[in-house]
Amino acid sequence: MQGDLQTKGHRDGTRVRVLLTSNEAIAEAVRIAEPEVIAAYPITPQSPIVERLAEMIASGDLRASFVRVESEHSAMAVIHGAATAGARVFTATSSHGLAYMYEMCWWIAGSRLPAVMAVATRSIGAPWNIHGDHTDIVLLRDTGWIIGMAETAQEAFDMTLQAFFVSEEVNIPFAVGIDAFTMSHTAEVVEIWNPKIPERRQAYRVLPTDRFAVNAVTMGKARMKARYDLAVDLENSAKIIEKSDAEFGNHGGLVEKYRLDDADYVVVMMGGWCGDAKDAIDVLRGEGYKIGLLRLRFLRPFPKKAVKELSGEVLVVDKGNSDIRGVLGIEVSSCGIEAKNVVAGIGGVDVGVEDFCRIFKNFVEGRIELEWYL
Amino acid sequence: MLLEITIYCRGGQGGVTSARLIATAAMLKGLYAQAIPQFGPERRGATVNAYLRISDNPIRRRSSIRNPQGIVVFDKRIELNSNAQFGVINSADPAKIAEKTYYLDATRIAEKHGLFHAGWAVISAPMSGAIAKALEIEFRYLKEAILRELGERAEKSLEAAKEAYEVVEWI
Repeated sequence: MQGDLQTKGHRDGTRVRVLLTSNEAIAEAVRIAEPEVIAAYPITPQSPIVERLAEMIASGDLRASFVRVESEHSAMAVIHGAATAGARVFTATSSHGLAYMYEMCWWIAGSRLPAVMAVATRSIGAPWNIHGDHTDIVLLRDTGWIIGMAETAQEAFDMTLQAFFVSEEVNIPFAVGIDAFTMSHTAEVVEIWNPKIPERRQAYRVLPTDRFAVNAVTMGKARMKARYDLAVDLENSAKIIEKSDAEFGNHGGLVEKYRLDDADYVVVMMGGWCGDAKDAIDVLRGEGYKIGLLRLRFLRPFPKKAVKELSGEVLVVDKGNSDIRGVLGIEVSSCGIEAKNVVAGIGGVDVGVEDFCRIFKNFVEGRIELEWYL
Repeated sequence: MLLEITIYCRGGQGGVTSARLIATAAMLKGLYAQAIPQFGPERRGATVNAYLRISDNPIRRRSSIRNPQGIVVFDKRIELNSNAQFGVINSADPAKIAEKTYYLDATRIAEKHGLFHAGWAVISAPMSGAIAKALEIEFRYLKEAILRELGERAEKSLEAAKEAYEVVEWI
């Protein structure tokens, strides 16, 4: 499908408008990045990404090894091994799949290996639910991964390409988040193009012929030092993300500021539903409310500077919770901001422009502290 | 201008394909578009919806469509609850579903052009022809969209879409 369309035009750097879901946009970006090893296990709503990549490999559009595995734990283990040997690697998952590969996410981050993973964010059971929220991707917070969250298929495309660049620059794996269905399965206009990504590079390589063992048992401070170095480098990856932003679509770096300049009221959110929130902000602006949006494009490194700079009243709208509080609510509060917090959209509950207008009006009129929008 | 349309169909009839064809045609015309399938499991024969947004500006919202201006009905036996301003319906007889209604016997056109899958008439091509006419999208854009989406399998669909584009009638 769309074979000749996708290969014409952008090879010479020009941009081609095509209709793609965020799943398809990510597959296109991966094709352009030319990974050597892809390993994945299917799970809704991610599956179309790796199905499309498998088709590209079958048709010869992409020269990569696709390793079919029996579980997500093995998918990440294959990626880990291939990356250790110096291959550019990719995988994708969602929800229970991410939970199942969780252990290996720590291994690959701790080993300081570059890798890119797409996460089509979906609720985790029980009760069983295949729809979208952010409860899966926030699991990665403590692993040491870079975690991005796109708003559009265009941004999913650009961020995936940036992910390969940044990950290989800082030796830290990079997760690209897209919302289940509202992004993963929604087709929209995307401009695809072919940015230059340097050859694969990484801090070290171990080949099967090398007489060398990695990740042996550590004594004393070695493990703590490794963890510290990863935390410092993750902080510093912010600079690389900001610096390379212009080369990968100009989306704003760690954050996007929407109508923030003169805002007395600020909403903080991440993901695809920020589009609905922007439409709602325009409605409220039309009614005279000075409200704006700080969209977090990254959960790690956390955009602490942009959050600390916020003035006025702050509301965080979350699609994932820890306890009664939303996860972003906790993150924003940790920056010394006294934020109000709404948890909404869990399990794919539809939150549209009218809902955001209602929530934002309640916020502006002082009627929200912490609530679940049920 | 933001136009929101809901497509009512049965799983296997081609409603999602139609949304995608029209969105592509709109894009080729220079507009922005979204084609949204019903989220979750789809089953052959069950009623499913697909959604379509078209605008001359980038479309930011991606929540569900609650009050569409237009509806498209692939099977007239599907129960409707709509106050849309215009509609397109697959029906041999004039069947008014909105203030402004376009009707055509899409099943007959699909059968005539041999568009079947597993014994079912797949009516995405003729319905797309009718929707394009209703939305004043020139046939050349729909033709290009069908070629892009269906590739080598496009020939019968092109003929069916063209016939639908020409015969669709207003009530």
